[in-house]
Amino acid sequence: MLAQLIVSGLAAGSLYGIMALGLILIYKTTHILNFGQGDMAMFSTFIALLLFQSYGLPLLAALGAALVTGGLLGIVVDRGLLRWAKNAPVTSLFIATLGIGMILQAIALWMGLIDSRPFPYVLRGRPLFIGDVVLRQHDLLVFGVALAVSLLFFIVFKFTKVGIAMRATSQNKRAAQLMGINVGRIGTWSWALGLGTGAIAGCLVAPIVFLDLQSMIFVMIKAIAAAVLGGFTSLPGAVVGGLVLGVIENLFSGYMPTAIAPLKTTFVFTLIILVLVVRPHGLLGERSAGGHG
Amino acid sequence: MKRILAVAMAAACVVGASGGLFAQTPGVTDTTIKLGSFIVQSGPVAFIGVPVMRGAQAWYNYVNDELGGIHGRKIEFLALDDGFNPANTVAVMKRLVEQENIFALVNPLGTIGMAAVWTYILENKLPVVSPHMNWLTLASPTVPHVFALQPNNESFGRAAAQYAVKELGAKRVAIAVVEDAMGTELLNFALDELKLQGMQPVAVIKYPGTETSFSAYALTLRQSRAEAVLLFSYVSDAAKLIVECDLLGFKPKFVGINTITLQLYDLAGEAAEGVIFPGFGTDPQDPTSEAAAAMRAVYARYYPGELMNAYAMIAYVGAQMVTKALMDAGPNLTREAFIAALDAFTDWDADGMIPPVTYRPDDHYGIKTLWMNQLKTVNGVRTAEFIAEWDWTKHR
Repeated sequence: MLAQLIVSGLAAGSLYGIMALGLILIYKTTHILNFGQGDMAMFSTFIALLLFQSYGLPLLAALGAALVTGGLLGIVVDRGLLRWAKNAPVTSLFIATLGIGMILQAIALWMGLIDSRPFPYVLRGRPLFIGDVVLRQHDLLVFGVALAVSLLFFIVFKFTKVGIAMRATSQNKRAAQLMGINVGRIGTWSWALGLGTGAIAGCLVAPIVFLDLQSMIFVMIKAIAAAVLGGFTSLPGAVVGGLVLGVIENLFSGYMPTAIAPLKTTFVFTLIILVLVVRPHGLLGERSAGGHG
Repeated sequence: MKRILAVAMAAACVVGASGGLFAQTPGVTDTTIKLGSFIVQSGPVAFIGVPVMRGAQAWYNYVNDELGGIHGRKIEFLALDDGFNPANTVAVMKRLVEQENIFALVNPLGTIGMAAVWTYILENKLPVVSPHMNWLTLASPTVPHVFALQPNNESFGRAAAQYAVKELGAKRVAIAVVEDAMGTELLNFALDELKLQGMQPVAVIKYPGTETSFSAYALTLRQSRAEAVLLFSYVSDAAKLIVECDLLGFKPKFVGINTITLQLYDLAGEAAEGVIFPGFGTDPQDPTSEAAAAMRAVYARYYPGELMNAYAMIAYVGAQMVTKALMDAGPNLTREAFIAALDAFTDWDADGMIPPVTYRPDDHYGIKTLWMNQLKTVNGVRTAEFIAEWDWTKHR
């Protein structure tokens, strides 16, 4: 039982982690916490579902389309909407992202997303049995994607010009600007990458929780928790935070008596507050980062 | 003075003609009976409200157009849109009672609206017939002028527990329940019913309505070695749990409630095979039912090209119940006669469209018999097959 709870927890946690990566990427360079991340992921995923079901696109192509939709959505959100309000306080922009999420919900509803829809698995074969522990192929895919996305981000940030520019922007916006970095364009890149990552997370979450207007929001709340746990500015922290969160949650609902088990979310958030008391910058957060430069 | 008197007399004649002043019974004239309702027609719940409105309206129109009304009186069905917002329901009810002076509230839709106007209905002793909601308060304790129709959570909760124990022969029963008002009500009745059978559930898992990960719950259920699992869940949560159980190779018998539909197949795929759930109406598209065919013909006459669904069906049947009671009440229509006519209903089943309904002055429960269905693949087609009738009051 213990091993199974941990393995399932890691699978759920990887999903929180991937979703959190997108959030943090945007936050690091723009200092905007994207409250609409869940809705934006829902929207990209819904586009994939429509293309797959109604237009007969092969699944992999439809998933690619979700990624592209996520990226384009990022560009539209940044260039088309937030850029116009660049002088507004950052806290107001938080609320603007929430508003964009609601607009996307309304559009998806109008496009026919009324009740829960099944979303296809990429890998849906027989689950693997390791001793007593069951592992579905989808979980392996999720682990793989979490690892690949983290590696990709590592490479981008470490070795590419865009990545280095992003890091510079996140550390000190004005200095980056003075060094000739186009801070605006870097912001757009972050939004595109962040929402692209969100779309990946959406397509991995949807087969498990199904797709409806709200299903991503609960995952996003967990992702925010994972990000806080990992230290809001750290990309590896987001993944670690997600994994820790997923496992703790599962152990809690597995071992607590029925009367207390439904309080697992309460427990998780209480734990996060305790972590923040002991380690104000989260598990892997950087002490100096996160300021406004 | 003369002039004032003449005006007063003219006014009295006008009022008299409309029946408001001299008629003893609210909403009834020599030529009309005014029935009121609140049925949402706009917003996200309109997909239920619109067919409910049409189903009821189709039957009332038919009675007026083809059957000459009720004892020579035409039915005026005044259904107002409350937007599924309880604040609006209060305003709508006040208008229906205080301005429109309705005879009875018929075919109203939605528990939340009803809960908001419940005290007002009791104060005004307004007859309520064919309410479209599963609210237990309508039926228990009995209110002399309120007649429930659809089964409530007591029926669903007790029937599920009984069916698992008595029909499926399960010695080990577990319960999976969503933590909300509906789930809690169902759970309490199921626990009480198991207790009556001398049993305790081997596991009860409660999950929040916002749950995204069901793997731990599936493990708990597997550990409990339950033979039957009662699913007091909405359809998408039920699907998630069933899929997780299936993944672990844990395949108990699942018994659900009326939230389960064929959609469970779409969501859970093969794992949904064999799930048992209750229903309480014939599919209006059933090709083998004559009553359904007659109903479809009337519906098509007033709403040509519109497919009649289950919501329209239950509203149509509810409207039939109203007109039967009006007919039985006789030409001298009063609320007392109307209520007495309803209290005499015995095994009325709308020609087989619903399980039989019997009312007595101390029993306004409505449908008690549930039609148990099972998800089954027949010739490659995924269907819900009728397997048994289950009246929980007869299995105590």
